[in-house]
Amino acid sequence: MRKLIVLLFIHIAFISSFAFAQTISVEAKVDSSQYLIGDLIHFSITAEYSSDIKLLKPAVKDSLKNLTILSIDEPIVSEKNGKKLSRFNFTLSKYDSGTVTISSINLFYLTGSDTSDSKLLNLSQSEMLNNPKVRVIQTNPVVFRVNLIKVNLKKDIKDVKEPIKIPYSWEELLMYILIALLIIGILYYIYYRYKKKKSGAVEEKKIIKLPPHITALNELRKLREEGLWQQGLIKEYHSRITEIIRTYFSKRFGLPALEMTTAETLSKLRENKETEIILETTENFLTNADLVKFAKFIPLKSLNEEMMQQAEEIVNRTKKVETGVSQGDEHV
Amino acid sequence: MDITVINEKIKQESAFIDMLLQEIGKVIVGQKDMIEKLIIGLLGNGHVLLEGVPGLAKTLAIKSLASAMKAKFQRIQFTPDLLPADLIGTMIYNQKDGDFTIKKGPIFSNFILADEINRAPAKVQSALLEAMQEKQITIGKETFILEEPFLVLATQNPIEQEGTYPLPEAQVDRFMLKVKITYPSKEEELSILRQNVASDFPQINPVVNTEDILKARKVLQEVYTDEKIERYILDIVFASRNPKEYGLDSLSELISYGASPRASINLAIGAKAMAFIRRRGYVIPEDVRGICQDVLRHRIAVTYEAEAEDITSENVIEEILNKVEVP
Repeated sequence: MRKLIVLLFIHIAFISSFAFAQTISVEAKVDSSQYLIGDLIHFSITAEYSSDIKLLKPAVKDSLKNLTILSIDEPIVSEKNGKKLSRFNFTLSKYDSGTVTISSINLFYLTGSDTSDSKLLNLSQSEMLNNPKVRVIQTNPVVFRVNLIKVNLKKDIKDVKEPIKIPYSWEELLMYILIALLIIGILYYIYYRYKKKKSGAVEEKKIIKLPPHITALNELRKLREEGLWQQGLIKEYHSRITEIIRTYFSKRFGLPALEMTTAETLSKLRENKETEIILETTENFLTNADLVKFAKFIPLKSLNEEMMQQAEEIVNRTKKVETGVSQGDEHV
Repeated sequence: MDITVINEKIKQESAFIDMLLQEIGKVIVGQKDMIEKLIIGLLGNGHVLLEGVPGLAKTLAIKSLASAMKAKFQRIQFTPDLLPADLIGTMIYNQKDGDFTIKKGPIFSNFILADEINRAPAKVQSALLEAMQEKQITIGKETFILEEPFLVLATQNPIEQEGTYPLPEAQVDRFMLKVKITYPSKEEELSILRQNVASDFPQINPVVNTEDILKARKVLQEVYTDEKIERYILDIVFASRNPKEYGLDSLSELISYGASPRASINLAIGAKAMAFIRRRGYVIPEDVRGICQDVLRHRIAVTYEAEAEDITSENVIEEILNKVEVP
């Protein structure tokens, strides 16, 4: 009777474990137990679990902190005998010698209705550990050794090897030739456009230089038409009219009159025989203009008109009559 | 104010200039430009540094100017052993009273002739230049305001640089004008020769008092400077700082540093004083050009390259004046 009760209990326990408990097993391993320093270490975690379990990504960072993680592959999921099989592959390396132990890695999973709870998927490792809905299983620790390269001290020390010369491939060479041709083409096009533009500008524009007196008289006429002093712009009128005459002096007599004061201009004109006839008029003209330009002097209307007459007189009495026009830098 | 009114006012207030020139002319032959610049300094309330080789009557000109005015004048010969206290004064213990009393130095005058200023060490130069700038002296705990007009007329010799203490640029900048004196003409030198050989050397009488100068300074402020002139001044000063912007590319390698804003101010004041001397109530470009060299020559520094080619700040200024457009 006692024997029968024990057998019944074992049977019930066996049946219920199949009926209600989910099964999962994990295994961690490396592809070798001995490596040389810097070798690639292929580490994998394989989990075999029933289909009602949802496996989460393993948290490996803490356990692999002494190793350099070179790559983490996408998990490979397959089915075998009605069970799911997930394999997580990692490529690691170690740049130090010694015995290495990869400690147990936590593998989190969900069961039953929790598998569809998306909130649980985004939990951190510590939150997962504290959450009763998230279950955990640990892998076995993995031990391997990383060895130094054996050096034969009896052999001669060899020099560092020369860098390996990789020969140019045809594709590469062709690419360089095409780039060079493209640059030459662009440069030639820019040069061609520049040359065309330059030659075109010369061809298109015929520059005709007017005699200084014509330019001055044109400018004076333009100034008269603008009627500046009639609009109350007296200072501007006097500045413009003196500027026209000073420009005329610089073109006609080669005086840098624009950079000279009234006294300096008059002194230079005195040295020139051609300007004797306009000396007095010029002196009056420039002195009166200075008075208006630099003092708070408001001239009579008659003086403004007289200034124009004096300016025309200066130009007309000193003009150099030429038979034709010559080429130069001024436009008509 | 109408220009005719200003002109009239200037005519009245500038009458003393003729008397001053006449009186100085008794002793100084030629050197018209130097005397004109001294008067500009006097009117513009700016100190003047005279530079010239020995024997060009620098000291005599300043002494004559001071003598022609009813004002306190002191001459201080700058020597290597001069101390600041010799200049500004010091506290002296009075045994009778058992207390310290202030003994004022020669700087407490209207006109100071700082003869051969570059022969005194830096601490004395600094004491003088500080008084020039602040126009006040502190001895012990007491501060004294210097009496107006207060004008320092300093001389220095461009040769014999051994054992001298050249004025630093920052201190030279405090002189409104640096006037360079050149040799007199043959005719002028003949007059100098005759005057000095003659038995009686003319005496200068005081013809102008300090009130005349102070009044003239007030009228000087009324001299009209048009915006065109102000802009012309700025163009000149800025051309010394950024020559390339004014088409003076060749100067950019020759100028170590350009003129300071103090140069613009002094150029404007100097041009006004020049107009005043010419009995004109407004400034014209000639006035600016007339004072330009004296205001700028000590404010523009040339590079080593320029020095190697014997190019001076005067050459640079000349080039700027030839290039900057006159309004």
